[in-house]
Amino acid sequence: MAGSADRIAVGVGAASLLALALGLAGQPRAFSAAAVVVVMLPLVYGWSRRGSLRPVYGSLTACALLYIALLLATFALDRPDEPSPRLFWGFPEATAVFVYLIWPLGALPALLYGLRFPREVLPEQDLTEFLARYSKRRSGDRRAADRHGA
Amino acid sequence: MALESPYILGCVVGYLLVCFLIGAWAMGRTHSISDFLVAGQTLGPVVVVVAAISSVMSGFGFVGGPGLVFEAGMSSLWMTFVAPLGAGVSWILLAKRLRLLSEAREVLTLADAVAARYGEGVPRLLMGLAVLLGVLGYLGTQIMALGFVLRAVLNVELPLAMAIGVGVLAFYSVAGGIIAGVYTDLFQGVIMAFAAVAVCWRSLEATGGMAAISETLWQTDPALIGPWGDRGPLTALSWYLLFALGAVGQPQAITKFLMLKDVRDLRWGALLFGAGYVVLSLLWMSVGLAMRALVERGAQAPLASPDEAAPAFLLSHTPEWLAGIVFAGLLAAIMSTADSFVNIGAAAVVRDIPTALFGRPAVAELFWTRVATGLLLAASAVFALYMENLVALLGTFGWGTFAAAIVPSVALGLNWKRATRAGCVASIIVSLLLNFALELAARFELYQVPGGVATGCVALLASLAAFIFVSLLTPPPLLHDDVAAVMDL
Repeated sequence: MAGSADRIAVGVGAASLLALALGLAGQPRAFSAAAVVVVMLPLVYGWSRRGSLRPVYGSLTACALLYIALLLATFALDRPDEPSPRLFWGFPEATAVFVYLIWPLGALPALLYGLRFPREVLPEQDLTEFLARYSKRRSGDRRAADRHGA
Repeated sequence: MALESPYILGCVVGYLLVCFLIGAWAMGRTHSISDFLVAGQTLGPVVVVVAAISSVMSGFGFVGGPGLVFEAGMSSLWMTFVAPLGAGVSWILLAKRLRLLSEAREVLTLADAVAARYGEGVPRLLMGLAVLLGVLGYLGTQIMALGFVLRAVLNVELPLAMAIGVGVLAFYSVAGGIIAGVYTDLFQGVIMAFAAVAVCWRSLEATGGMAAISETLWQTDPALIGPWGDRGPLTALSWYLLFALGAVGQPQAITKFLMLKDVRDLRWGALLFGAGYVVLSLLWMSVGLAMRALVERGAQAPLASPDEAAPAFLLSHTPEWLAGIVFAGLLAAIMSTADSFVNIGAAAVVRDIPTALFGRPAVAELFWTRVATGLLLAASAVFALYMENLVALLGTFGWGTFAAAIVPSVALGLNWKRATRAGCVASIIVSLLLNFALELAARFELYQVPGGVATGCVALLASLAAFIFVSLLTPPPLLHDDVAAVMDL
């Protein structure tokens, strides 16, 4: 776990520096891909259970690739030089990708979280064990335990 | 229609009265500091989610947001359309761990969580200061907006309008603490949602529909209705990053996780938050685009400033009863944000900073937190009246400062065991310094971030890198078993 978690942290740090460099260098397409990585990579931690980061690599990778594809499609369909816009449900095509796809599909990680909650995010048995062991160690008890080096 | 319309006056006065009554009711339910700051961890999922949405959607979403759309087209929608993703990020990365930490430790504030994770002293102090600075800015701008709206509706001088608004806010925030805050937020959220849907429908009706708006704006300037707006792709995408990942660093929203009665109720919260925010974003988008199209067609007189887009639309293009409800919704947006911030700010003053400096919170914590709540509101009103420039500066850097200070140290720190105290301190210092320096440099035209990248985004990325690499360069921390268990679960 520690090695995987450290690698993810290094990935987030490297992607952050890359995004910063690409943004300051004026590279919006490459910046968009780096931005998606910076946002999505830490989410792997959210599914770590009993020290394992394994469960949702596939789903999160698919989400990240979908978001990058949609952002690049937005760039590709953006044609401000045309005399009149090609509309899709009231918006120019590139804007329609933003409004009708990027906006609602942002909810995909939240949907995954809800669907997998009882099995991978917070299984009942894990919660019961945690509460039984730690939930009484609050307030003064905890501070006393700290003072005594527990 | 004038702002002195009896419908508008009636809706606004009725709204203030309901807030007052909720405050009186909540006073009887507030008996401890835990009640005052985290509602005694007794709330259900719907109340928590609606309160979180209401606290994030400030007056900016009802006035400044439509104004930005009027001025620069679609650009600013990258701030609000990422809310469904930002909600997912917040819940996935932080909700479970923060709520479980509060089972093992007495965690009532973010600084409590930072102290549990990295130890007492400097990390708690820096987190308390970062939160307090951001709160002062946000609170000042909200109270200023509150004063302007009430001055227009009640037709009184600004100091009196501010006194009336702050008086109601102070009553329910001091008396009922966060319990009053979340239940007024619930009421305020319902008003805001109705206002957003009704105004969106009315704006499409007044302009002939979205296709007609697009055609008009395309002939004026294709960038206005293009996906990136007038500010260009780098600004829009840097907002996308800042508002998606930065959502997990907004204390007014994430402290709501601590108020949940049952950690299992987190399951559908992110989806519910995203859906609710989609509804509120309809007003942000539709009014700005509709008003710009109406002005370009000559159907509406040009506006003196973009921020007049929403008020002018309400007064000229909606029936009086709807304008009344939306003005109440605008007040709701302002006050629901302000009540959360004043609660967090008071906790920083009475609990976080004294504990960092003297090893314990102020004595009679509940009493002094109530006093601090009242004093913070009064001080913010004075700031808003007499130090407008400082308030504007603090207000603009609020989201970015919270994001850059809290995302690495709290959201990543509660997930990554290798994160160290030095990494936490470094990231908060980088966040504060970069946000202040870049905002000041831009304000005085000394330096502008190249390519239009948002200042807050630069600070967030730098702070993330500082947190991770400083942590890796310092010795691994020794975690308490309960904190380690929270991070393993």
